[in-house]
Amino acid sequence: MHLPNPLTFFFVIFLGCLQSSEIDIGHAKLSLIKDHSSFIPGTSINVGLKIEMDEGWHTYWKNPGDSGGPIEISWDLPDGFSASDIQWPTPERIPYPPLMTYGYEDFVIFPFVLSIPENYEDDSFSLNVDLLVCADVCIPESGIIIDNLENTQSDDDIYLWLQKIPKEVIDSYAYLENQSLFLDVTFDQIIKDIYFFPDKGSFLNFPDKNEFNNDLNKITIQTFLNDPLQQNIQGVLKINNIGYLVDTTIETEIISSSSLEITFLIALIFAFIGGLILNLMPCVFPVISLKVLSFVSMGGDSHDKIRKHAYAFSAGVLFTFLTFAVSIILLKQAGYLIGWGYQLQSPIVVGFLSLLMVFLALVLITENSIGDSLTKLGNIQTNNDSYLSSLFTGILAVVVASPCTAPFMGAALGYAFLQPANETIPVFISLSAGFSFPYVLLAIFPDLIAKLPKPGKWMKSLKEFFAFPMLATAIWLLWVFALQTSVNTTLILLIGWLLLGLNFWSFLNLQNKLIKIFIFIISIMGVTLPSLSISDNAVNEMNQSLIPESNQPNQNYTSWYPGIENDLQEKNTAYFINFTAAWCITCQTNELTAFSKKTFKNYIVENNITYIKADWTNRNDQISEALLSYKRSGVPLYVYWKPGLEEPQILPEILNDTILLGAIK
Amino acid sequence: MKKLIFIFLLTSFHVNSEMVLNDPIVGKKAPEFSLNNEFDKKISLLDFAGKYVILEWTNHECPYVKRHYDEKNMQTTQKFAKEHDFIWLSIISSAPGKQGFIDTSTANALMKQRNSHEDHMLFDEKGVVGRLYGAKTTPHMFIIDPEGYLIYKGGIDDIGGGAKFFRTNLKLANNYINSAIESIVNKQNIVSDVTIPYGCSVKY
Repeated sequence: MHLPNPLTFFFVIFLGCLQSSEIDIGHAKLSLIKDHSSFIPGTSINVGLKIEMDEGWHTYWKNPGDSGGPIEISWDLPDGFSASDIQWPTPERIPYPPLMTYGYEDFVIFPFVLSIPENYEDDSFSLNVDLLVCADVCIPESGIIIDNLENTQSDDDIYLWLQKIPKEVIDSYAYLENQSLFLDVTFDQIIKDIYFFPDKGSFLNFPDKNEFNNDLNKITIQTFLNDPLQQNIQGVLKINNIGYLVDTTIETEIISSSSLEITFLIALIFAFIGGLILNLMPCVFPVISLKVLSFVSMGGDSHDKIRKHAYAFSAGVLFTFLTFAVSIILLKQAGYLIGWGYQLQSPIVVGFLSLLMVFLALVLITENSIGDSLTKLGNIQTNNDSYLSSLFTGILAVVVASPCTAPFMGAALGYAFLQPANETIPVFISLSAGFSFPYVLLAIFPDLIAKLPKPGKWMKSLKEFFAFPMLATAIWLLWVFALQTSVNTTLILLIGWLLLGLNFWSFLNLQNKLIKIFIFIISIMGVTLPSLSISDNAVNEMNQSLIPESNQPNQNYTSWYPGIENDLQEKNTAYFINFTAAWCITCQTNELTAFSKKTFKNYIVENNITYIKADWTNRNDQISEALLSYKRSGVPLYVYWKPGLEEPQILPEILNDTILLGAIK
Repeated sequence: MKKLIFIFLLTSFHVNSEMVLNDPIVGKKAPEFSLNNEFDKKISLLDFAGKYVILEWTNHECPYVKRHYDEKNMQTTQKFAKEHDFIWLSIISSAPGKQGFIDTSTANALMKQRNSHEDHMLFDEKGVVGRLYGAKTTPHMFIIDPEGYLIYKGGIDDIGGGAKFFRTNLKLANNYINSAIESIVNKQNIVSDVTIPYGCSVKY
């Protein structure tokens, strides 16, 4: 209860004396009415606050639109009586271009349900009303109605306004496209007029009218959205002057509107081709070559054995890709924004991979006689019957392939990441099928092995040679690791390399088991103790290490930030965005063969093209979102736009300066 | 095809931008403008590059604005902004003949009478700047940072429209502008940077 001001106090006395239920508040008359049912204790009755305004004046709905505000009332009821909240009749649009307001013009009745107790002694009440009465200008008014409930006048008009209260919920489906809200409803009569009144004011612009598509019995209305984070869509849909309740949430499924429209089938085909090409990518090739060599050495073996090895390899590939797919689905459900290659955003994974590469190099370059358990990872020489080694080679190949995005794979994986689980998994299966296709081919036609060169001494040399691409890969991973962490943490990793070599040597050459175990335990302690701090410090350190770099005065690129595309398009400035990461070897290759070439650098300067880099080396959700908006889930991604282009152009994933310049010219 | 239609719609809106209300986005560049002030001198937003600028849409006859000034609420906020070297621009978008439309002499008298601390009172009688900023109500507030980015849009406080405004104690409200100034001074993020404006409609 607030204290009545002197004026309303005067009203109370004045009206109390007159016992009249109608009060004039200037531009409007207020009164309380009830329906025709008898006033029976223990039941309820409909009452209404009737507001008769001067012609051309209005008051507001619960959401007033662009300005104004709703009526407020408070009851002072005798003991035992209770009144419901205001039941809001379906409003009208009251436009003041360019503004839009929602309310009632000239006349309105706000109905309430009033409960009458079993026994009562007193039925006098007062009703406190505050409202805005507006025409071109708004006047805040207030008044108090004092009366006896039993004597309240019955008025037929209340039935009309009770009917205007929307009760029926209409089935609707809401989704977003191009920052507009679309609402699909099914309606079985011809629509002359349709308008959506949102309950809340914060998320919709209030248009003069809703554009709608009256196709068969399905209506799609469109309105503009202010706040894309708003999930609940509640309000009143007024169709042919009748209000229906809308209560729905925005479907988060992304409606494909990009020029790069990919269907499920095309995604499967792309994934297959992408998997096939992945075999030749720089980071996978050394591992794959191990497998090829092992097949070569099987030239004389039984077909059955070759077949089983090929299947075991493919099973390893399939298993690993499916593990990726499942972890991606789970992470997505947990709300993480991830993309292909995301695992390399963790320095721990990168460090582990570099150790793995060093280990493989050691296996390759030494005469291979370590225990069976270790040779399984790279068994080519002993050529025993361990199908497990083929399985592991398959797993290994996929693990080292993860930093690469082969052509075609980008689009297919981008699709897979956006789809529900039942479409993600088939895309990954198709990818592993493409990746292991050459080996499956060998399994089906074992005679093909005879077509490969005969095994011999060259194999040993080649095997040893492959240690060097492996070491090169390890160095590259070390570089990534160094970018992600700090000098000191990188030192720990290098010590890890050293200790790995030491153990490798001790296991191969030392006889005393106790010394071997001692060296092993010391090494484990030597690496794990300092590395415990990696995970905590890595991210902080990387932020510090990257910031000075981007502030270098002579850098020739702009750092990406969300919305830069729109900003530049508004300024009509051409731009080229390079989505890259240190761990993405395709990206680094393109850097060498295309972006660092003078021809490119000169071209962008001469043609005033803004060259933007989005560095995804470390986890960055804003870049992940941007990639998703281009329907991609990983790097590299090259986007080019110049004035006149309707849609930004997406360039191939493997570039050289000719392709690059050809595309942007 | 839908996309094409949409782009067409967008461009056609662009052409008609004087007719519709834009909705500037917080975090993006605030639209440039220049308007005449109470001494008929041309004032541009660019004049204040390097300073924080607060825009207040106003209409001295609007009951909401009246109450904020009568109870010195707006003046206190203006003073607080001034103490921290913010620029305060009051903008009147009322069309000639509509409520709140005034000439320079009335503007000078008004500023003196209500002892307000705005740096300039600007006349936007064609409503161009109001539409550019999507000014819907009086008051409707915007804050622009020294680099020209919009960092706040919305109401003066959290009371909200409706008649209840006139019986709520202004001192008890959460004044969004005061909070934003405090956050800026303390180098913190503005907690509520988009709020719902309330008041009379701008009389375009």
